[in-house]
Amino acid sequence: MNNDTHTIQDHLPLTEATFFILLSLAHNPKHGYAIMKDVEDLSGGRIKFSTGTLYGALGRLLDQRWIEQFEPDEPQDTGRPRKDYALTDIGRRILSAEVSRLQGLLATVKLRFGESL
Amino acid sequence: MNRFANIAAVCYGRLLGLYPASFRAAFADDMHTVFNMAVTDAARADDLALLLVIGRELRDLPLSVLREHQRERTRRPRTMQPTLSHDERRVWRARIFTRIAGTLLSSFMLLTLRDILTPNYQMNSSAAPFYFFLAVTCVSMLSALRWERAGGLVTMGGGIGMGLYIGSFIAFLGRPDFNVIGAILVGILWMLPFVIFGALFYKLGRHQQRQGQLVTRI
Repeated sequence: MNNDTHTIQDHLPLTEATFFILLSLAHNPKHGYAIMKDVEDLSGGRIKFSTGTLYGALGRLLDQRWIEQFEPDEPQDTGRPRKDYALTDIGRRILSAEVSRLQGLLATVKLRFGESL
Repeated sequence: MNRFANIAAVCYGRLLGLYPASFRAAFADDMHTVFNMAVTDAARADDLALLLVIGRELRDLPLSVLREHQRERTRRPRTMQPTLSHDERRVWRARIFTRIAGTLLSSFMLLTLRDILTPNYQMNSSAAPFYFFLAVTCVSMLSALRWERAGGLVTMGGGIGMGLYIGSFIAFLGRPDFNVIGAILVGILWMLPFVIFGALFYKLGRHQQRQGQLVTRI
């Protein structure tokens, strides 16, 4: 368990794009376009992925096995095969570790500046 | 989709050809679908939104293509980390030691067995199960070089079987100059190296499996 924690910590902090992709998949699996729109919403319109950037990031996350790819049961309207992406257990633990890290940072800031900041 | 969006989608399909083949095989269909959805949505809003979507794609395309080609070139086998951590180095050293020592031990025992199994050797038939256990244990230890967990488990099992057999053989059938404690000690001495190496191989295999499950490549 210590070794697992150590390995997870090695990957932190996450890039903003990675963090938002993992966050987007935290509740339910999504296909590429849904991730793109969700990340745009979550970041308040600040992060707008192009398809190349999105799928480059998804490819890396798949290689790292933080997410997994699968074909949904329901066919898509366009008839093209569509792939959905879901968080793996490791991805979920890494997201959770990053959230804890961010909470820790925020707590430190609050400690220094109080709630006034 | 309006005409401009249609043309953009066709052009985008062509541009996907710039990505490396493995990336295209994995994602090109999906990327095309997502691009079509994005331009369709944007075209419904207004022309400016459509231009922004296309502009964003064109802006990011060269860097994405270069990045994927770079990644393709530097693609490495799935490993835990790009550089070995302190723990990983210890595991690596343990694996090297276990493999070398295990290979030497099992090779030595197999060579001894080969001599025993020659026709000139007067083999005691009641010792046959011992030789059987020894052969299984040595072969499984060599196979643990490839299949660490399974090989380690069989090595441990064979070692225990061999120790139990030789201990009980000496205690009940064999040597009058050995008392029970002596027989137990001989059994343990035969059992111990194989159990230790089997356990080491098994543990290394478990470690490898855990690492494989956790994280792979950066």
